[in-house]
Amino acid sequence: MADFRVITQNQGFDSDTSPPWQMVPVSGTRQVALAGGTGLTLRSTDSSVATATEVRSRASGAGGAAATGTRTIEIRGNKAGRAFIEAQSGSRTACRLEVAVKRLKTVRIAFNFVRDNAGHQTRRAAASVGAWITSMNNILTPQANVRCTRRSAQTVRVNQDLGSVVRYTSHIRGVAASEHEWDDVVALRDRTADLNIFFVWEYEQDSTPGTDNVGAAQLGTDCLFEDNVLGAVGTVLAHETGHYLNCPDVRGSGNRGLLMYYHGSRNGIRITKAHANLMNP
Amino acid sequence: MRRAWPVLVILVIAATAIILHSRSQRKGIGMTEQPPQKMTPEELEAEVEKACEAIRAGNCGPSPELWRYGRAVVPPLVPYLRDPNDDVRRHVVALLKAVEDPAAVPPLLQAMADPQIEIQQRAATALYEAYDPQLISKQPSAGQTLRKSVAAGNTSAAALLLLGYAGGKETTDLLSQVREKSAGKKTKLYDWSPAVTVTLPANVALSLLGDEEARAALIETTANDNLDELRFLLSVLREVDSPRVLHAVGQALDDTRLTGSGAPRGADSPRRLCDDTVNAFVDRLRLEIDFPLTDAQTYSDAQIDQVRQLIRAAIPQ
Repeated sequence: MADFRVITQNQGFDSDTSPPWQMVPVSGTRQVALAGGTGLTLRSTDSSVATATEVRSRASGAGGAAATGTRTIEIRGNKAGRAFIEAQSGSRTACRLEVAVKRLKTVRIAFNFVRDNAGHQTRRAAASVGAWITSMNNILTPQANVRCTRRSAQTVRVNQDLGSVVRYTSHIRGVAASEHEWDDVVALRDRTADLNIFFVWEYEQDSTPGTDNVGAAQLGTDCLFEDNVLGAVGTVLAHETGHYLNCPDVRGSGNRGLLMYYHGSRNGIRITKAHANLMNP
Repeated sequence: MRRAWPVLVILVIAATAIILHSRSQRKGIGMTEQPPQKMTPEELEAEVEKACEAIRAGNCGPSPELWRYGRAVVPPLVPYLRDPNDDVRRHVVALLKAVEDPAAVPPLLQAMADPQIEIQQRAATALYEAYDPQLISKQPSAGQTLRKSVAAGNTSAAALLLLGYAGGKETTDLLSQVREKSAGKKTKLYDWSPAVTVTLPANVALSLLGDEEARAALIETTANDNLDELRFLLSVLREVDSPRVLHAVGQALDDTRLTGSGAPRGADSPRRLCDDTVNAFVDRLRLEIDFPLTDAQTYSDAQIDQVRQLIRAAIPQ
């Protein structure tokens, strides 16, 4: 039975959907495999959006190319929209691939390195920003056509003692208003950035500030990101950018390979069709 | 005595420094909250040029907060809306949003003809978020600019909603076309807000233009119980003027599903749709309530009921 399969992982192919799905940038290409597709012809349901051409054939399996040949198909994105690539035998459609052609979406990020007036400050430094952006874009661009750029990178000073833990508490009844420090930090945001990331020493958002339960959090255009975050910084920053673009956390051990898996030390980098469509509709 | 003079001078300087430092501390914020240094138009022009040059060179470290100059920074920004560098134009649109001065409206409308749809979308969102739509619609050829942008593929929720203020048959026809041709296609108002079908903001705009079919569709939407769509409608309540539609959206006061609003993702926010509805309607109808509004906590049943009664009294059935 013929079907479309992934050639290169984490390039915007989702095999868990029916039909499988591929993200293609406007004016860009992606290659997919057409397994068992010998003799099938290809057609696009909307060639103004996407077109498909065969790049090369290679024999696979004992039956050879004639029986079980895997063909490499190049999909080209012509304009933003949705189309289906159909592999056909005569008038019968053997298999389909959904193609989402997406425009580049840019997220301009301000990287703010926080210190307070009592000597608390993040250990992170602006010199790392370039490498983080590269890591984030290696995850987000090929899969969702989202590109992060550095709007600014600077030290910001909150002129009060934030204590050893910076907290978000306004949703918790019975906690003194002075404990809610998020607003004091994000007031220093760069208003010309899409997303402001504030690096702080320690961050909590529950009733147990003495226990390190969370590494980073996003609300609206702001994100607080502590020094003790689990996992690779670039990957967690890409995860938080996913939140900024309205992607929720996912749970369940079967989702551990996903960028939006909730636990920083275990999340992967794969972006599903559903999440790519939320990030960059 | 003469030997004491240098010591005295040092003490005076130190005391002055301490006073100035403590004043800046009391202001609560570091350098970014200082009022901008006065500049002549020529100096401001030079600063804008320097900032744009830095963006072209990919050097985006700390940069002067040009938006703090308000109206004065608008004229020197305008030529850069034609800059060949996309990032420069993106930055100019961000600055024009941040200045929050009506002088920025015409150049933002100009940016809605940018060669990049993404920059057109940014300009639409900037106009929608930071400026009065009535003022925007009064600009010469605003309606035409908006229609051209939407017809070219800018289906951002902000662009569609702004069309609701443009008026005219051409606008109604275009919105109807968008609604018909965009089945299943999604859009957002802001990057962080829920993705909804393009049909929804198109219907809100058409409803604002008096289209009964669109109003019926919006009432139908409220009955579908789609949380993202209801949250979207609450976020664009400013554009809803039909009493029937307002009453239909107001039924969300009975909806206790959690929305997670008012707290960062991952925090156990107690916030429900009914709480978000209270805020949206108090703001939209300027309701005089006897309890404080909150963005993060829940309201009591009595408080929600008070808003329900006030809505009934404020808009005809």
